[in-house]
Amino acid sequence: MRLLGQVCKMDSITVALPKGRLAEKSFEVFASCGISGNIQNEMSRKLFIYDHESNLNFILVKPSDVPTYVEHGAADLGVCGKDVLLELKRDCYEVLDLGFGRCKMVVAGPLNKKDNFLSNKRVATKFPAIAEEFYKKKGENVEIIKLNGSVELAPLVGLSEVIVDIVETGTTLKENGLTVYEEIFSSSARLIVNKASMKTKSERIKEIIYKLKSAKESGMLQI
Amino acid sequence: MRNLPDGVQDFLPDELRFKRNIENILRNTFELSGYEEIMPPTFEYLDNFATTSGIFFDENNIYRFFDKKGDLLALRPDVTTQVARIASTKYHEYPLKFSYIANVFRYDNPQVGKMREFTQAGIELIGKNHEYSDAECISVAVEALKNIGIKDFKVDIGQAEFFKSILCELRLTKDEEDILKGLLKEKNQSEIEYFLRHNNITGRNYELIVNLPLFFGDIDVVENAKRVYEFESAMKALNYLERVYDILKDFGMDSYITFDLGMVQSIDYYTGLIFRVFVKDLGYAICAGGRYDNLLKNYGKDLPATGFAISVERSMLAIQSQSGITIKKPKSIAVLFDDKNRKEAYDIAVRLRSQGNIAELVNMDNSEYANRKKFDEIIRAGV
Repeated sequence: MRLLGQVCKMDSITVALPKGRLAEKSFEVFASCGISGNIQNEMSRKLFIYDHESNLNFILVKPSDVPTYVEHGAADLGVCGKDVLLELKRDCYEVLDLGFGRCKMVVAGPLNKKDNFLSNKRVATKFPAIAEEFYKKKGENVEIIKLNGSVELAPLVGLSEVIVDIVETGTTLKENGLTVYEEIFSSSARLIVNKASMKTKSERIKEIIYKLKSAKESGMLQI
Repeated sequence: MRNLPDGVQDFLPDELRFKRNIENILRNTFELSGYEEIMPPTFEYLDNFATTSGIFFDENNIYRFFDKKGDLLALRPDVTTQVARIASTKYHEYPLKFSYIANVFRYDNPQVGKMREFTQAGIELIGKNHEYSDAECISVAVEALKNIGIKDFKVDIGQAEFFKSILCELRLTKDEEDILKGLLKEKNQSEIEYFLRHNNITGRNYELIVNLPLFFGDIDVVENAKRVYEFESAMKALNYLERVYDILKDFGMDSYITFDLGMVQSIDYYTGLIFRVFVKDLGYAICAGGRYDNLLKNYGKDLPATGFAISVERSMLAIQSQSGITIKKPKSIAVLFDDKNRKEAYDIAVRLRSQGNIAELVNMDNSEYANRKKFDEIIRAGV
């Protein structure tokens, strides 16, 4: 019986992390909760890291691809911003608000706001689904312009009147002469789980969830 | 137009042979368990997929169209509602046991394993409300999946009554209930905490809901839940699960069974025990089912019912990723002939076919075809 338990425990688990600061923070958190060994140093240019100590695989992917890997079961777990989850609406369990990676989704525009009487406001954004839903709820008809980066530029060069984007400190906005008009929601990193993995590898996944949860409750995850 | 719309596909010979092979095994399993196969039409009135309280499916996910008389029709989004209609309107004695293998149509966003036209193979047991019928249903699902060669799967059992009994305690509005249901479906514990605090749900009621997402695992989960959810309706729902588990244990199936008390089904007609089957390393359920005791009321009979549907395409993916496809194909033989011995060649082919082989007559000057088709054997008539 014990042997069986151990075999179950050693189910290999794959974790998808978003390249960049969230991944660094996630590695730190996983190591400090005793979920994985300290492997932060290994993440130089590798996209795939195997931690012998814990039998965990880490894959580093584009932030907006994390939910895709998890939904399809290519990764069992993932760490991902709420903003990305709301934009993509993928079918997976969103079990825990990890509390770090805090930022806000806002509507922003030029400091000296000019009234304009165009019937359709133009909104530039990397998050077309979020922007669309936000304006739909407000009952406003807008034209959504999907961009892939440097969204702050759009109002400056007349591509759009406003932008819908993520802000952390607001420095980038300020540097470009923009200001926040409205806040849509605040976001933070979430732990997401594939629906089948949750059931077929439940022992290990539950253990990881509980460890992260108690770390969060004891304030260990605050930045 | 040479391409196909999103969400549909052509099945070419090898793939279709693999699919038919699975369907035949499923059909055989259902038939041998006493579930007779029926076949409802591909489309019928949209209203038949609706109740007085609304449609079970998101209306935007149903393929709808008008006939020449102006009646609104729909391609079936599932077969269960059709079987319920047949059982209520064409039969008078119960229980009834039916099976089906049929294509259904849903306007979902297409993705791997989620097509807009897909095949469901399922059974329905109508007219009996007893733990034996739920256990029987689950056991047929387990046998069927074992027979088609799927390994390492878990039957995850939930209880629609259980969540409803807790909701009763909370006294939320319908909108709030829907939000909570959505969060529970995501097992979104953090957001559930925010939701409860926002709605001033505290104390005992807070405790009842907040841990629900993590109430999943083996039979111990049900045992533990009985200590937390001590009110009568919840106890009733939990005891029912235990009795079903005891039956399945006697059937030797306990190793396949897990429980999830936070399970919420997306189709709205389920009322009691619900279940889903998950396969290791495939990201989504390959089978779903449960009890739907209120569905038949819409067609004029107040009868309990339970059933499940296996997604044939997803099963194909599971088998492919677990053990690889093995396609069983009869031996194929080319019978080469020319004008002089065509009578003899035809007789040979008929004989070979009666022995269960694939036999093709191939004209001698068409040997290029015989080479390309890779026959297991090539024989010459008149030699």
